[in-house]
Amino acid sequence: MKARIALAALVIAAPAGMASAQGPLEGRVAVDGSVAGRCVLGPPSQSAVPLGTLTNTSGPRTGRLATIAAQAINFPGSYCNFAGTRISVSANAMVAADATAPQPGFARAVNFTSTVSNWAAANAVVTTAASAGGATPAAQGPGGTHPAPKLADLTLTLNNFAVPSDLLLVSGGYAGAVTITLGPATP
Amino acid sequence: MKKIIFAALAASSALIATSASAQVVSGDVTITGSVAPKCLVVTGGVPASANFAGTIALGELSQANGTLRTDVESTFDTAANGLAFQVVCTSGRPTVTVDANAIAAQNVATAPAGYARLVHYTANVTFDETPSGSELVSNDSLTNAAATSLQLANRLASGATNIHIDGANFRTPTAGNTDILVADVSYEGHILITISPTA
Amino acid sequence: MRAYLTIAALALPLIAGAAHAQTVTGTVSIDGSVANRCALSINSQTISLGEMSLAATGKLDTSKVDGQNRTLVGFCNGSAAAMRVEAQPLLNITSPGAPPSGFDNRVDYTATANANSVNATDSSVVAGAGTAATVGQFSGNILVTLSASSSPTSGLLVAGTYQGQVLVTLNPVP
Repeated sequence: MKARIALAALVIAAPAGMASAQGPLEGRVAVDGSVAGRCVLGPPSQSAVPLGTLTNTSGPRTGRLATIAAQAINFPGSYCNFAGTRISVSANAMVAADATAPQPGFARAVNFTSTVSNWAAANAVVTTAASAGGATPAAQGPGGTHPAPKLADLTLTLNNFAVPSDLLLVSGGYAGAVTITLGPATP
Repeated sequence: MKKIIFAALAASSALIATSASAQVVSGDVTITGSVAPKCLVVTGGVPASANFAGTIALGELSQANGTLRTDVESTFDTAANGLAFQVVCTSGRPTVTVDANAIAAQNVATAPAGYARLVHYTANVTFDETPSGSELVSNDSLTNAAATSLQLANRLASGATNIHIDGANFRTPTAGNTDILVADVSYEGHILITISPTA
Repeated sequence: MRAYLTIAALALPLIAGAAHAQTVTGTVSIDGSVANRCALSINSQTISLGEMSLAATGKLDTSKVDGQNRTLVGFCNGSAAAMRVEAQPLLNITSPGAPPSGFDNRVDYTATANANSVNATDSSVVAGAGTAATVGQFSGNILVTLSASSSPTSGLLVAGTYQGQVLVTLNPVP
């Protein structure tokens, strides 16, 4: 705010607290606001991925893992409004609901690779490494850091399905999980 | 026989009394004259005239918050002290009148609410008398619409400035001097003083 | 014997150099002036908007800006006094660089100053002050109101602290 007090021969001093002038005089209303840092993942195109029958039912690979096509799940309109963010992905291998230790020659786990792309230069990638018996099913992998706010459609790709030692799979239902986290690179 | 005629013309009324006497003659001469009752301006400002005039310049009337300056009276009195009026009346006990007119903005006809275009005041005019003493005649621009009149108790003093002016109670119409004065390059008021001989 | 006396009557001179009249009138003129002036007894206020984005979309919440107002207090004593307003946009001082695609880091708005039933407005979209309005003689409140807020691409707002200001200029003699 600028104020000038004009000096004339008989003008007395201006009382304290008042700005007065014979030329232009400026008043000021300051305006301030804020926007909090926030990350939002867009709604997934599918929250459950049904793979159906995992094994071949005929031919030389009967009872072993069939060829499973890559699965893509989209998260449209995901964003972070601040810089320095990254995607982390954690996955649990698909493991049979029946917890009984499988017989020799059999496995009860299916590993796969999860990749989240279109965020940072380096994708977030993790490949599960469960044993045939279903031990150590969990795995985690962080992606690269993006140096600016970003608005993007994210894609989670599941592929590279594989059974440890390509053993026969025990029958029953199998379930795995993937969790995507979007947030500051340094929490 | 020749006759010689003498014509004596008297320019004024002159009376000659004579008495016939062989030993001594004497004559009394009475001289008369008159002075009409008059009031005269001895020093009357610039220029000298039948009347006297002067100007008191107050300058900027408002202070920073727009209202009337609180020191306008001291400015007025200082300037009024510089006016040197001397009037002499031949008659004793002249009648004087004083009429103060408000100081008004010349280019603004009406003032909005909260504003003023008038400054009222009381004009105090002191007349010095002989042999001593003085008398004060006051007139307020608002409360005295007509001039104030007074017949002085004595003659006006001679030989020096004998009319002194000071101002008081300078104010804008709303009580408390809260009015903001409208801007105008020209505010003007007058104090009219008349001095009449009383025969 | 006759004696003759001649007497010349002399007019008595009045005081030299003086004008004389029956009644003398004196006029003392009083003059002064009042300069055009404006003053502000309250010349600074602050509007704090708080969080400006919508949680659901991350975009500007115009209801946080529109309708916000504060009051300055002042006066002008001349009929020609003019008032003008300059609205300066809210700029992100935490992340001032050009924002990525899909984002804005600037909030624009219109500011209106109202005094003596006269409005002066300005939009922050175009730099510089708005058109001056003749406000004349007034004494009292100058109400400053924000309206018509927006962001350049109607995109997501970049996180950070935003600052702007409204400047109200009173000019006694424009």
